[in-house]
Amino acid sequence: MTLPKKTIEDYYTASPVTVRASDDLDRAQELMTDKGIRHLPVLDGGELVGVLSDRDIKAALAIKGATTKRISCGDIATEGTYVTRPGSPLQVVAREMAEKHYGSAVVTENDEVVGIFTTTDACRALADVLTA
Amino acid sequence: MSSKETIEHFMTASPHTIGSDQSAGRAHALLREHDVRHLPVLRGGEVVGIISNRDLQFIFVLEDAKELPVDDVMSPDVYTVTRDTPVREVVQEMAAQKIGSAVVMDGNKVAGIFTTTDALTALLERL
Repeated sequence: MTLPKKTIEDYYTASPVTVRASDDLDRAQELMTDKGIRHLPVLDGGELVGVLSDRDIKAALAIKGATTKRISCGDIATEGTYVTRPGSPLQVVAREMAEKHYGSAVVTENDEVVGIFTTTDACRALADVLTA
Repeated sequence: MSSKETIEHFMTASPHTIGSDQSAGRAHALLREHDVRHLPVLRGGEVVGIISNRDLQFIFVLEDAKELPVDDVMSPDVYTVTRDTPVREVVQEMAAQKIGSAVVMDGNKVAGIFTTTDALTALLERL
């Protein structure tokens, strides 16, 4: 078996847009629409506390009486975020995401969020591998 | 391109499906029973949507939400492809449009489903 050459750094989105845990869902929705993204790492005092996806918002708003103003990003962010490092082999990250059904991996370096790798990036990586 | 490169090789064949007039509770039960996360939604035998466990995640906070028809909870935008579509083409489209799954058709019938989890598995095979 050859050593895996590709790392997560080849495919992740660097310097991702983040939100604060105290931001309301209005802010999160606005950012997702403006930037054309579906995942936002959620920070509390600079520390990663979870990831918020567009589907988390959609699901939360399905509850009667729920509004984007009344719910904060921290309220519904998915805990148990999969965190990895820029040099992690793509193979390791893809396996972990497939087995645990994670929609994204947050990439950190020295406790700072430096990127995000989502299943969309995995699709891009696969297209790349198949083209090569 | 060899036949192994088509979506047929990577999809989950003969997926469970649900009728659009069935209840959200029934969809939830089916997902649990079969340990899957997506169900193509059919109306009159035609694919009209897709429902995932995440579509159902929060509505179960309300007990009566289980009675809602699947129609009200599903994602109506379905990306359909044929069995012989190259997997590269499918994942390129999924990445470009940020789509979570593709329903694979054989004529008018659902032949399979290809999700981002299948894309991760395919990626693992190729690395």
